[in-house]
Amino acid sequence: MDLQDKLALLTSAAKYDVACTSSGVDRSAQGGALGDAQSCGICHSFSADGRCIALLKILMTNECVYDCQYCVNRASNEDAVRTTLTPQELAELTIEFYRRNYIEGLFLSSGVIKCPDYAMERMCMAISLLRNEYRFRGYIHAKAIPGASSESIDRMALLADRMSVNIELPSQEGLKLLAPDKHKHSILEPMKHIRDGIKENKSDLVKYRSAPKFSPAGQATQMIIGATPDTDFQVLRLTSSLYRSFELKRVFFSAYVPVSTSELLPRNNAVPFLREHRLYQADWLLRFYQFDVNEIINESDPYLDPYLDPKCNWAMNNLDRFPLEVNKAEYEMLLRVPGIGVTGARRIVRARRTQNLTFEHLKKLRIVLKRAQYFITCGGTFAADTPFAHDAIYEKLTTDSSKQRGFREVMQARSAFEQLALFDDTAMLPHREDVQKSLTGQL
Amino acid sequence: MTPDGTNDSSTVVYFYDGTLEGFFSAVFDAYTGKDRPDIITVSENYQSRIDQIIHHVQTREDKYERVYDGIIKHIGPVGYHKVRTVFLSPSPDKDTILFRYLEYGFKVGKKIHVDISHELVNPVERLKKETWFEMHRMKMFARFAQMDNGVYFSKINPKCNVLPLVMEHFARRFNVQPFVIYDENHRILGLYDMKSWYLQYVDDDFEVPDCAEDDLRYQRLWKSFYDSIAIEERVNHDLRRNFMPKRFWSNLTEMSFIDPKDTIGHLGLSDSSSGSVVAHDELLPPEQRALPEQDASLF
Ligand code: SF4
Repeated sequence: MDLQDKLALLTSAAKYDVACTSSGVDRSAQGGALGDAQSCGICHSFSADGRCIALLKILMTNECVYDCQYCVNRASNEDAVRTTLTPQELAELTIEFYRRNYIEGLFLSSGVIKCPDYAMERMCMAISLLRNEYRFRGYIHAKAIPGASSESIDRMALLADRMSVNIELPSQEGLKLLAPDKHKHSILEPMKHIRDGIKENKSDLVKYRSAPKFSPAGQATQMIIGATPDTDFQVLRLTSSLYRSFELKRVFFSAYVPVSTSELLPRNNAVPFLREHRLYQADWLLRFYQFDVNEIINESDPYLDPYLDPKCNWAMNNLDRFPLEVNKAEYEMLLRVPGIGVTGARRIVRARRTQNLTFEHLKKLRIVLKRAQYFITCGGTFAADTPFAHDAIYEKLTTDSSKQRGFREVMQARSAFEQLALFDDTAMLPHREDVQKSLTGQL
Repeated sequence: MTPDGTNDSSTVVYFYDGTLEGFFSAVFDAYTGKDRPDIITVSENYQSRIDQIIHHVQTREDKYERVYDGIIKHIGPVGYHKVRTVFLSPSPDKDTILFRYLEYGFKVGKKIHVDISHELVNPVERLKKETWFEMHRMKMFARFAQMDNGVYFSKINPKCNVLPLVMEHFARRFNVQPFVIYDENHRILGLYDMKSWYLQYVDDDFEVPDCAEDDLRYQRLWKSFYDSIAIEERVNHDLRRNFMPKRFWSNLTEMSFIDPKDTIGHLGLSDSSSGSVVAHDELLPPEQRALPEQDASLF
C-alpha cells in the first residue's frame, strides 16, 4: 500500500478522537532545531465538519487484537483493510507537514498490534526519531495503550508533551460489554502512573532544571457518550473525580458516531451532539467556574437540561440568589451569572474600583447582556423587559430557536437508546414532561 | 477640534513617510516645540486643505530612539508592543489614534493598560485586537511549498500589514530552513536566510515561483489527510467558514480544489494568481481527486 493510501486509512481511523488541542506547553525555538510549541496552541485548518486541525492525528496502525465494539478497527471487523506505518514514514510525514506549516505537531495513537507493549514500542520509536534524529521541538500528544507496562509508559512520557489514556466508557459495565479486553484496572493503572510521574518530575525539576520533562503538558482522557446508557450524572461524577484524583488537564467527550454494525450498539444514525455539547459546558463549570458537580446535576434528575445550558439551569434553580448587584457582588458570584465569563467577571471587578458601573459601562467592557440581563442589576436597576420571575425568565431563555433545533437532536439520540434492545429498561432514559410538551409544540 | 479636522480653520496636520521610524519622529516633533498635531498621517493618503497648517516630518534615527526609550519607560514593553501592532493596522486614523494614546500614556503611565474603556485607550485596544487576530491567522493559514532551490515559499493575503510580526514567528520556528513569504496584498516579500530576516517591496513584474515537483507529493498527502479527517455525520460548512473565512482559501493548499459549484469566484482567483503553490488536484488521476463535499443537509 502506498503512503497516500495508508495516510487516508489511518487518518479516517483516528478521526473520532476528539482531543486535537496543541496547548499546554511552551517550548521556545532553538537555533539549529526545527519548531517550537506555544502554550496557547495554534490551529492550522478547519475540516468540513468545522473542527480545528492542529495536529497530524493518526494511528500508527489499525491492526488490533482487541475487540472494542464501537471501533472500526476491532479485531472482529473482517471488512477492515489493515495497514501499519513504519516509524520512519510517520516521522517523515510529521516533519514534512510541519515544515509547510500544515500542523503544530503530532497526535499519535495506535491499534493494539500484537500486544500493548509492542504497540507502545513502535510508537516510541517514531517519537524518538522525531525528537532525537530530527530534533523536532513541535508538539507531540501520545496516547498510551490500556494495559501497557509502566516502563513503556515512562519511556513515552519522557518524549511526548502530553499523554492520555482513554477511559472510553463511563462505567465498568459498559467496558465489560463493549470493550471486553479493557478493564478498569488496565486503564486506571497507566493513568495513576502518569500522574505520579508528573508529580515526581515536578519536584525533580525544582532540584535540577535540566531533568528531562515527563509529559509536561499533563494528561488527558476521553470517553464516548451515547454508546451505553450511562447518564450525564454518571459521566459528570466520573469526570469530576478524574480531575480531582488523577489531576487530569482535560476530559474530552466524544458523541458516539455509529461506525459499527455490532448488535450491542445503538443502530440509529442520530449522534448525541447536543448532549456532548451540554457535557462540555458542564465540564467548563467544573474546571473554570468553581462549581461542584452536585450543583450541576443530581441522581434524581440525571440528565442535563436540553433547553438550558447548565449554568442557566443552576441560576434558574437558585433564583433566590439573584438578581445580583454588579457593583457589590463577590467575584465568585459574578462568575455564576449566565453570560458572564471569567474575563468578564475580572473586568467588572477591576472597573468598579474606579467608578460605579452602569449598563453602558458593561457594554463598553464587552459584557454580553443577552442572558446576563435577567440576573443582574446595575445601581439597583433591573434592565430586562420581563418581570423578575421564574416562568417569565425561563420563557425568555428558551425561546431561542437554536434551542429547539438542539432539542430535536436530543430526541433523536433518545430514540437511539430506545432501539437498543439490550437495555430495554426505559426507566433509565430521560423522562421530562416538557420533552413531551415540546413535541406537541406547547413549550 | 474633531479628529478629522473638519470644523476648524487651524488644524495642524503632520505628514510622515509611513514607517514606524517616521511615526516616532512625528511624535518626537510634537513634543519638541512644534504645534501639537490634530492629525498625523501619511501624505499620500491625505488630501490637505488650504486652511490647514502642514508639517512635514523628517524621519531620523535619533528621534526614533528617543521616543522608543520614552515608550519603554512610561508604558513598558507591553505598551511598545501594542503600539507596534496597531501601527500595522490598515485604519487610516491609526496614526492619530496612536498619537493620542501615547500622549495619554506619557501622562498616566502603565495604568493605561487597565483603563481599557477610556475613550483614548479603547480604540487602540480594538485595533490591536483586530491586527493581532489577522497576524494570528497568518500563523495559522500560511502554507509553504518548497521550491527547486530548497527555499520554502508562502503566499499570504492579510488585511493588515502584519508581515513583520509573521516573519518574527516563522524565523524562530523555522530557523533551520530558508523561506520567503509574499504578502500579495501589500506587495512585500519577507526573506529569511537562516541568519536574519528582512523585507523587500516587489516589482510590478514579480511572479510567484513554481514549487518543486517533489513538493506536490506532500501537498497531495496533506490534501488527502484533510479530506480523511472530517466526520461526515458532522459536516458543517458554516462553522468551517466562520473559523476559516473564504478570503483565505485561495492560499490554502487543502482548499484550493473543491467542488466548483461551491466556489466559482474562488476558482477564478486561484487560476490567475496562485500559480503552482496550490491547485494541483487536476494533476491527479480522477480517482484521487477531491470528492465533492458532503451536502450540508446530511446534518
Ligand atoms: S483497542 Fe479498541 S478502540 Fe483501540 S483500536 Fe483496538 S479495537 Fe479500536
